[in-house]
Amino acid sequence: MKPNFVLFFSILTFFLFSCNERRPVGRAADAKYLEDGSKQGLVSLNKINAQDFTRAANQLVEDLLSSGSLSQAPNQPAILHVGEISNDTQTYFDTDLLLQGMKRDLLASKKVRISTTAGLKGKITDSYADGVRKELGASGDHQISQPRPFFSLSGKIIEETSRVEKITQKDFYFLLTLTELNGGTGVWFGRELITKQGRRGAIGF
Amino acid sequence: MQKIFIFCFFFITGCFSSHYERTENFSFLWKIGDLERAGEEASRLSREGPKRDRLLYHLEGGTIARMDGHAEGSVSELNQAATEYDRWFGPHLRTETRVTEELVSTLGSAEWKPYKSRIYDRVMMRFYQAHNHLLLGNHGHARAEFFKTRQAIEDSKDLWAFELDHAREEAKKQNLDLVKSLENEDPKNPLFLERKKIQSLVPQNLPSFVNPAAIYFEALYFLHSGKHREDFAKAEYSLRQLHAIYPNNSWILEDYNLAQRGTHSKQPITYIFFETGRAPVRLERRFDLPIFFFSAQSRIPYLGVAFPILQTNDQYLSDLEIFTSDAKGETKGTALLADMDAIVAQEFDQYYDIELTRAISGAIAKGGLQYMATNSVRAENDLSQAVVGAGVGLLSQLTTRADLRSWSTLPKQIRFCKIETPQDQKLTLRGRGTKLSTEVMLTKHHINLIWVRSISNFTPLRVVGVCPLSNW
Repeated sequence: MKPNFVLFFSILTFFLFSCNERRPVGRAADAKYLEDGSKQGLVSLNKINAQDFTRAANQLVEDLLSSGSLSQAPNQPAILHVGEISNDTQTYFDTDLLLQGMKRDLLASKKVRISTTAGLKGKITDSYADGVRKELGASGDHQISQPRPFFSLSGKIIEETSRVEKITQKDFYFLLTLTELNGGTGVWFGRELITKQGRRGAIGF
Repeated sequence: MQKIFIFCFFFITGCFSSHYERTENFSFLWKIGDLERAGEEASRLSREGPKRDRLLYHLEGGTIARMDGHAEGSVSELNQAATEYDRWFGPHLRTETRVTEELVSTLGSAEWKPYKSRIYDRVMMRFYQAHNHLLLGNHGHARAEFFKTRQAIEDSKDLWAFELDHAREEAKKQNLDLVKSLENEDPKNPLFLERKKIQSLVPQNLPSFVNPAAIYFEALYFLHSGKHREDFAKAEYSLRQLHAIYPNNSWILEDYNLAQRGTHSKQPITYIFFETGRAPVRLERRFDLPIFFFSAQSRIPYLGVAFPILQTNDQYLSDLEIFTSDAKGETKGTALLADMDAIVAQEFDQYYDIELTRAISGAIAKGGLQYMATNSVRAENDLSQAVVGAGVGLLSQLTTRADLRSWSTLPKQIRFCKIETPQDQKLTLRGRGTKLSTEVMLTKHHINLIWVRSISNFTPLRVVGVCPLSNW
């Protein structure tokens, strides 16, 4: 009887007191540097990672430059206004994570100049620069030029979720539109899709 | 050996406490409207309460903070709740659990399993968080929360289907045929009667797992702050759904027409969202077989089943009267937008099979354990057998508990009203049939939203916040 009794209470005690907080197993991860756009970066299924922004920006800029749309401006390099990118995903992030890299690469191509002082009230990139230009312009300073942008770039980022059995897929669509302001028409429509898939084994709920 | 057993038995049984016992003080403070102390109690529970209920305590804390005018505090609490939720589910809607967690909740109390939130919890969490961010002017964050709200509603059916499949597999392993027992429409069958009572709370036109208030709030955001065609399309999609639920509501129809035309309202408009009362609570219903604790021959001294039933709270402010200087003494009332009694009852009904499977599985497992224990002492004297039988029987009886945890600070109903903004930007709100009133100053924006909360018809009206829905 005694061994059975002890065994029974051992099992009971184990179950009753085993509801411990889950702790990570293994040693703490070592920290290391990764290159911008590296494929070694963490991949999160439910958000856009740094390497995703880099890849999307590179692909979109390459597509824009190869389309030849920027060459349509009568004055080269064309002046581009970078407008709003609407975030239609479930995670809040600053859209400059996408745009800043694109602006840098477009400028480096020498095909555009990017306006940082044109825009609706509250949506100017550099409000100090805009204020100074206005003051100097009002004082008649001839060095201040007022070129109007020829193009405007705008877009949105959309997130779609699909599930089949244990597999979840997230599609992040980066959609950009280049509008020629004189005619009010779109001259380039860019689309880059980043798809992530993952699966999770389920034991129970 | 017997003395050691008796000591261990009383030591172990002394450690059991239910969710209601732990949150008794919090519930009392909340009901009487002492939000400051209720918030402190919720924080204390988050720090000192069982870690398995942490998600629930953060939800409660988040609601209290909102009502008390601390939008930042509410954002923090609900973010912590969201982190806990993501820890369990992530984007997959499937949670990994340890085998011991499953076994412990089956052999012990259903409340020993971590609280991972109900479907309506997840929608309400995003709904409140979106409003918190709008109150704080964080439009980017609010926008993300609206997308999460929509995703939570779309995921709800998938999640329920996953859980139902899992429960059916578990029932099959134990040769349980639940469908048969629930199809028995004998008026004397207590399970059948209980289920009918819950189903009577759900109107026919309410689609499964849909929260009309969350959908309407999302629609208003895209309708009034939208700049692009697609924003109006999102609003139109949601308003079409709502119009199908409330075909006679002229306010929803007006907004639907605006969304279809892709235009904004010419008149300045104020919306009032009025949350009133308290959501239904879970009570326990037990079926105990006759017990003979001290019978030396009894191999299974106790067998019983405990599962939850719903109890609605019927002490609430039924409506709000809205006075403006422009209306010259006339008042406006509110219309029902979301009946949380119905939403909770609908989900409860959908999960009834699953809850019953778990309760019966638990009873069978406990019976097995009792048999093991009593069988192991069958060669001992009568007194030892009786003591062991009584001990394991009592332990089983104490751990046969239903899961009574739920987000108690949710409202009973969410009602709404839409009026033209008065010229003096001022409204007076009063509970119908009471002297509980408050004055509200609106912002100078074109479209305003006032959010009001009432716990009962004896506690003051609380203006959770006034925020603009339009950008101009």
